[in-house]
Amino acid sequence: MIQEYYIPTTVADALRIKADQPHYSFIAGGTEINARGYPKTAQHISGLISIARLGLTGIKKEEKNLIIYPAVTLQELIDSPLLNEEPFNMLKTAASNVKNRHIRNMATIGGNIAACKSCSDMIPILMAMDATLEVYSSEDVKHEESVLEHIRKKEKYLITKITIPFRKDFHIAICRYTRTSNDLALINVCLGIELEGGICKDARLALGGVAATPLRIMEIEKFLIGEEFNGKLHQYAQKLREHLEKQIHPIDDIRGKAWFKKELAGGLVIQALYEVAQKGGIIL
Amino acid sequence: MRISVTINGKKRIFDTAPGERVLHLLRRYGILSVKNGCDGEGTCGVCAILLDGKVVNSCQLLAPQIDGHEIKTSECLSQKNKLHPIQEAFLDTGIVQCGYCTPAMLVAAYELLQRKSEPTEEDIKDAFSGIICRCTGYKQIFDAIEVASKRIKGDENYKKEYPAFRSDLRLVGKSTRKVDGQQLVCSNPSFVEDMINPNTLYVKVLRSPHAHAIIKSIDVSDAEKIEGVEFILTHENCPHTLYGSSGQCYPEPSPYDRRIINKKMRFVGDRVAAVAATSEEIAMEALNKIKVEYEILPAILSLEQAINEPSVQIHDETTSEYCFHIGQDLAKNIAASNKGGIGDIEKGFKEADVIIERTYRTGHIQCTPLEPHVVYTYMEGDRLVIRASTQVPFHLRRIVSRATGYPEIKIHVIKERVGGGFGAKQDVVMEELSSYITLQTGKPVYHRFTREEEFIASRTRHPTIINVKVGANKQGQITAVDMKVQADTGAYGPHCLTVPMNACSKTLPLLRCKNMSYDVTVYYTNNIIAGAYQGYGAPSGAFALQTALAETATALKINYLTFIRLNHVRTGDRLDILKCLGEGQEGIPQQVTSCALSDCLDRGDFSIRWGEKEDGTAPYLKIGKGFAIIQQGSGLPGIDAANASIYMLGDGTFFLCIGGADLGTGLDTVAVKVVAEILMVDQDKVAVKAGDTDVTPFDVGSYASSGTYFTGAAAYNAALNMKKKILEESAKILNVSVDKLTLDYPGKVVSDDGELTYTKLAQLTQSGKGTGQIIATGTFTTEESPIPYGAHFAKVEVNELTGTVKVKAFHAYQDCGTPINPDLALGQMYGAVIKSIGHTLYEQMIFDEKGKCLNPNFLDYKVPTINDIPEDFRSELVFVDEKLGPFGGKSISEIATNGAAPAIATAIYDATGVWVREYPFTAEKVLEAIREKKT
Repeated sequence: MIQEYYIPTTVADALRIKADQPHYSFIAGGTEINARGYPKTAQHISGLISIARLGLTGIKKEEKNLIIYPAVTLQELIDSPLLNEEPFNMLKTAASNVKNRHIRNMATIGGNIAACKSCSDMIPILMAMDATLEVYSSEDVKHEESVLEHIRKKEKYLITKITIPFRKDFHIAICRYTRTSNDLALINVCLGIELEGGICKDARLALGGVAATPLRIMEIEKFLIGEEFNGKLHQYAQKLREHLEKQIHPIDDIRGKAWFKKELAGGLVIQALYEVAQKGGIIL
Repeated sequence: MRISVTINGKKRIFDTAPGERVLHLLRRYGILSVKNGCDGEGTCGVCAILLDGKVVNSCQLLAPQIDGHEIKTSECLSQKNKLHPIQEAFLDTGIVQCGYCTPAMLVAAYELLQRKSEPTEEDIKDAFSGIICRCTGYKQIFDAIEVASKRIKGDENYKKEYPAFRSDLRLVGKSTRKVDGQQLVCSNPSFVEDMINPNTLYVKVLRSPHAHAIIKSIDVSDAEKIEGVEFILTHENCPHTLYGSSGQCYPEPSPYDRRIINKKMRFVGDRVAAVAATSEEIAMEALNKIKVEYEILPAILSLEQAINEPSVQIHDETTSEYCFHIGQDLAKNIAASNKGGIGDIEKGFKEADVIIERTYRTGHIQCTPLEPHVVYTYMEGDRLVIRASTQVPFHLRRIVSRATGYPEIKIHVIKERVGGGFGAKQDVVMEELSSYITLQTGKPVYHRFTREEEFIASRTRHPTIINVKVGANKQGQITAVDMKVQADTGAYGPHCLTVPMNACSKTLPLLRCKNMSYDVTVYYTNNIIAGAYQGYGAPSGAFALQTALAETATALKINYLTFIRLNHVRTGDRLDILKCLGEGQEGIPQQVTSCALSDCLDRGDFSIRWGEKEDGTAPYLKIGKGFAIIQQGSGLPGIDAANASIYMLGDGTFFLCIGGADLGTGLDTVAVKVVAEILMVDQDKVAVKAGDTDVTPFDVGSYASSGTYFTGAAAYNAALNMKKKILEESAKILNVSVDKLTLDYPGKVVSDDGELTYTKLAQLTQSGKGTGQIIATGTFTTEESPIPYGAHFAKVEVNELTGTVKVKAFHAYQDCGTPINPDLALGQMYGAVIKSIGHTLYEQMIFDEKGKCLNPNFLDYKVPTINDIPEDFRSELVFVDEKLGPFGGKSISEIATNGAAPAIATAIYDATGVWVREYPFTAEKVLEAIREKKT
């Protein structure tokens, strides 16, 4: 039960409260931490520190980067005119995959990263885009880290900035499986490929739902780089699928059997490859 | 802490705690529009509010988050009893059914239209994406927004045209506003939860963690010491009387197999103890202090286990009593059984060129009304008042009387608006418990299920294994059908015989086949309790039989539509099979008085482009088409009964009392329209009171598709009697003979020489010199019941990479005789179809190896939202001239749950060549079937 609720107005104040009260949690929109039964491992949380008045809102474009502040809601991402061009428009797609508008109006991009659900809709795309995070672990310790580095850390600190570099000729596809539209994804695949003349120059593959946290499958990324897709996509897709299924080890749970999740991941990665190829003008 | 919030334009200061949810805060301060459907999970959206203009879930917000902000709720819409155009549009498009999610929908509509004055279909889906509605099927939301948008922009008279029927009638067959609509769009106190007074005790139930166990000892002494705990009920201090929870007519074809709290636990979730305390928190704390020692028994957790391992006995003659024999054999855990048939089944199979024998399975699915089970009980002198959300107020009174030992004359049941029933509220699931506590303490008691309890302690559809054997000759004529139904009633047996019997009685009579047999066996298990659910046993039976017929047509290499056209029943056919398929007693054979099956099939054939193969948009996307023919009943002939009374009021208007229970379906509106039609007045000249056992006459309640046909007919008969009395009284006053008089609109008696208005008639009859207030009654019992028919067509897209099935098109055609109120009738169809698409594709309760439900919430048990409706979704009412029923009205809603599973199953086969024989057809199952076919 929440006994205390702080609304600090500076990042320093927020971090000082957190240092004094390690069992308190930061709160942005609250759609995760206020949801009944969430998080089961953190029911000892007795106080909340709101980030609502820390000035961590807004989206801006710099010369080479896109900056998103963590208190930006998923709906604000969708409504932002700064995200209309490829590849940043895929951030809108990722955010709109949270189909429930009530949630999108409150849930923030920072909160989505901090909650770090296996089937997160924002983490895979941020990984695929090489996003980096500015994170404070205390008032005077600031880290710059990749999303992957961040989610691997046990202690989650205050995210204050998300930086996404712009990449030319980088095409992204997101494919996911849900039962109903407002379900959490069982498997979530985000594939990004940089194409030049039909050849894969660079690749990113991030997967949600196959492990406790979203994964980047670098083996597959290496496998993709240097490949020529024109005219060979069908045979290539099958190879990619077989390769991927060896790399992942999902578990049986009430949402799906391991074999099904594996098969889904394979099926979805093929779909993602077709989609990316279409965006990059690959000849089938 | 103290917070300052602007609510609906007015600044308010609230005293609150940092952890208090805004939903609770708002309700505490009298904002009744915010509802709780998911206990703070954020999945159902019925608590929606606008926070600084954006729609959010108030259940997921803590009070400090709104400090200094602006909130709007749906209460901001109407001004001084003048409805907002959005509220008006909702009432004019039939989108308000039970009304529980209506305030949230109004908030979503208001926010959308503020943002976009002419929203697209996609905008509308997005705006309503966070709200679960189990009644409407979402389809008429698009109409409501279109109407509201046009009216707000100045076209004040804009209307959506709904089909109209019976040009010879003024009101019946035309869409008019629902009589309870205004109170629901205005969030006036309507539901049980809106009636709670201070100083009420809150009940919480301790539930068994074991599927099968005996309570060796129970110690409540520590719990009793907690301040605020007023009463604790266990098996030690509760009555020993056995009763059954099923709201059926006495004598019920269901066993009396439980006490209020038993010593033996029979499923995970069975009642161990109930605590009544001054707050929910204190009651919860007390539950944790109750010490229980169990002797754990081996459990039966599946139908297969019940059939094959009869060593464990769940009930015996001391715990399960029957009003009459329904084929039970408690030593084998058989709660009920029945078999029979017509013709010569062996001969029929001998005449067949093709015989198909297949097994189909269905699992546990939940009714999930957005308003969970809820009840409020209190004393008025020596009389117990029960404010209930029920489908069966009169059965409820009888059952509570039996369970508690308190006489019926001292019990007053008031049915409030029901926030979704769907069959779950046909059972007495909690009312006897809170009643007993009120009788023991003398205090008001409020009991409301959590969403988790609604999943595990309410009623589910019976899981079934259905074996179907079909024989047909080369000409496509069905020569024999045999159905063997095995069903799981769970720990107790409400509806244990009748639901599985319906799997046969609502499916076999669709066929012109001389040789038919059935065999139904129902087992007790240690699973959760099964009971009534919209469609009763028909959806399971329809899935099995219709899919088997499609498999037969495939084996015969005959077009399935041609095959069905050859074999379905027609108007005038006599349905002898219904003689054996009764409700535990001999049934009544029926004549098909009207049947639009041929017309329904023709329409679907054309609209779905039957036989035209379509390609998917990617190589792994396969398109297929399927359909099913369906039927239901209209109440239970020879069993059901309804009564109505009408009072002429002092101004010549009418007050109608019916015992029927409107669950949001529009039954009150049906009854009012029928009366207003006959008495030649406008709809608003008839007020209605329904489902109040002190005020209204007896009615069995709303189940078995009886509402329109039974309650509607009682109102019809009462109106005819009222008409007769009006004419007789007028004849005396005008000094003419009755046959010279007729009723005329708007509310007068006319003859060649003059007229007498109802107002004048009322004044004269009710004065001291008059003959007294004109009161008429009507009753309805019958041996005949008209059957509604229909055909549902589906087009699906199957993703062969993922196994996902997407319903691209669903076209539902149904005959309900005369649709009394077309827009509400269409809403019934859309809602039932969407619910059954959910059952078909993804709804299923999952249990662990000890019988514990693992997904008792909307995060893990998925139900369709507005984004899940088919792109091309149509419901059409196919008129058919019916001689029975009020103005020819037949039932409409339950039948609509029967088509989706077989239509989609046949469409999946058409797309992939794979038969799926167990629903839900999850992606996992479909993918597995596709893999098996490939290997």
